[in-house]
Amino acid sequence: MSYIGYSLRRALKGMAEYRFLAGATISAVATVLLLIGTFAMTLSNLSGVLDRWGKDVQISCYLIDDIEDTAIFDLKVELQSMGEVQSVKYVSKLEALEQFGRSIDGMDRILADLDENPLPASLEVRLAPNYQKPRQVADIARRLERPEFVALDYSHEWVERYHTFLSLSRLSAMVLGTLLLVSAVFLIANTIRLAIYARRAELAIVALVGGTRWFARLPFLFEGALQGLAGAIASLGLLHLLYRYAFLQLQEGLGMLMGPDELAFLPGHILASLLLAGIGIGLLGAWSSVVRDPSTSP
Amino acid sequence: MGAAFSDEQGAPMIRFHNVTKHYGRTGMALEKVDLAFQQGEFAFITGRSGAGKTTLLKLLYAAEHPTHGDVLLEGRSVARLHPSSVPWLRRNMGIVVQDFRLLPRRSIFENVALPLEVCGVKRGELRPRVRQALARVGLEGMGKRRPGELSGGEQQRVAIARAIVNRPSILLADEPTGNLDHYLSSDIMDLLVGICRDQGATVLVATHDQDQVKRHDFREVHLRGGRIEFDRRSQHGPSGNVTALKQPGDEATHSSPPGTEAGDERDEPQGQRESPSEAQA
Ligand SMILES: Nc1ncnc2c1ncn2[C@@H]1O[C@H](COP(=O)(O)OP(=O)(O)OP(=O)(O)O)[C@@H](O)[C@H]1O
Ligand SMILES: [Mg+2]
Repeated sequence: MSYIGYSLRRALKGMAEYRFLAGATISAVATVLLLIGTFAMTLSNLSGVLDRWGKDVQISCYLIDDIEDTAIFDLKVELQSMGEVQSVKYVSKLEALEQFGRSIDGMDRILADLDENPLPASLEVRLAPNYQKPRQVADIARRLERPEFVALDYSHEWVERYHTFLSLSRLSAMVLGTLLLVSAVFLIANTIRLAIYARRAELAIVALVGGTRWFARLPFLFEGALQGLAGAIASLGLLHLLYRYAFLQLQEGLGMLMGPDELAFLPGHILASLLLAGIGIGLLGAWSSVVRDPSTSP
Repeated sequence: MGAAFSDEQGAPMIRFHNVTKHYGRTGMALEKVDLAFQQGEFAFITGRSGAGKTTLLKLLYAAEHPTHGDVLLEGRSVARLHPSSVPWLRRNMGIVVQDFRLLPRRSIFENVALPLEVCGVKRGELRPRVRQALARVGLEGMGKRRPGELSGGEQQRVAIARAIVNRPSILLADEPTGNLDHYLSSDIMDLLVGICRDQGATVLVATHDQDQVKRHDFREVHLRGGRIEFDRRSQHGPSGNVTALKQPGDEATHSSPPGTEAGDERDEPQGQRESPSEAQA
């Protein structure tokens, strides 16, 4: 339809005419979407860390010192038969010492000075994929308890706290994100209201020569959508810069803690959602102004 | 507006039926007005300032609605028209308002093209029609200028070009010679008369320019305080038709979309078909 072409041209001309206003609106939308994108990127990486840790949730069952090899073998078989358990690995006192020695620079020399090996042997229990949630791990650990074990260790508090922290962050990011989105909608609504006001004489003429209300409204809807889209594209660009120069830098600093995997940029479907969100808030804002303004309802 | 025009000879194109218009509670603009205009008629609406001339025209293009009574166009009520149908009513009309109402930031060409744009006329078709309308008002070659770069009379003619670009069957002009000198006023009035004669349009001109009214022998509806003081018929014929008497049933033009060559359908044996612009189109 030639309406579409006309409306697009009008929208672009309108934005060019009020460059400053359009620029300010686009920057504000970009800022909002940048913040939301940053939340999303941070959270998806943090939960990625949790996933990686979850993947090798391991319960170390430390054995009493004077235990016979056959008893250890029996225990291993018994644990392995449990549904929650994927595998059980025996780590002798000597292996434990070697592992510990390797974990910290210079530690092997310190340990070599010891008369006696202070570390216990252990059975390392790896859980099946379906039993790795923090709460389940605590349950399973309770069921693993045996008199032959001095202690069980699965660093559950850490994982659980991390999990809680993540859920809270996700919740607050969602609340904050929603507020930001709503304010962006209001912002665009206001800009479009000003644009309608600035062009009310034109709209009166459009009505006089037989333009329908949609003919009057369409350019403003396009204008809102274009400003939203432009803001979204700008935010994606900024987000990528942020990822390259802050996230990856941060990772180098924290290398060990984060594990070997590279921090990820946002997945495609989130990027697409950000673009759609931009168009959506633009349309919504423009729509709310357009339907309320009498000069667009001839 | 889609129905065929009534075949009955003399059925009026426009009819004001006992129309009263109040603005708010106190402002009385029209009082019990009964009027009828035939297809192809040219009429002056005269009267002092505040007599109700503008109001009369506004009721016709549904910018205002009567407090009592009804306004009929081709037998259909304009007053009770649903707001969403108003654009289609106006697409069959050319409206020239007193203050020109041109878009200052757009070129003359774009200003004149606007009524075609709102109808979704394609660019290729739009160009020749706008040029033709500009030529009709003697402004060929001015398309690229802005309204601010034209004289008052030229701007007035742009407003007329915009009103006729759609080949409307009704042309309403409110004080089209408002601030112009005598010669320019005569040019513009002759232009409006020409449009009535060449295109068979019904033309109503609200004016208090008695010079112009006297220059032409057309019907004059004189308002005073919202009432018709006199309705002086033209000497041209019983209905004041500039195009002389019409054949019954030759008026299928009002329902035709703006793009069609309405002029061909109203060809008349009597002649009067001297518009070169229509022949080109
Ligand atoms: N929008 C309005 N609100 C209130 N009163 C109005 C409005 N428009 C017109 N009037 C009143 O209605 C009466 C008729 O006005 P109208 O504009 O029709 O007069 P007119 O004959 O066109 O006058 P002029 O020659 O000055 O243009 C006047 O008394 C005017 O004050
Ligand atoms: Mg007036």
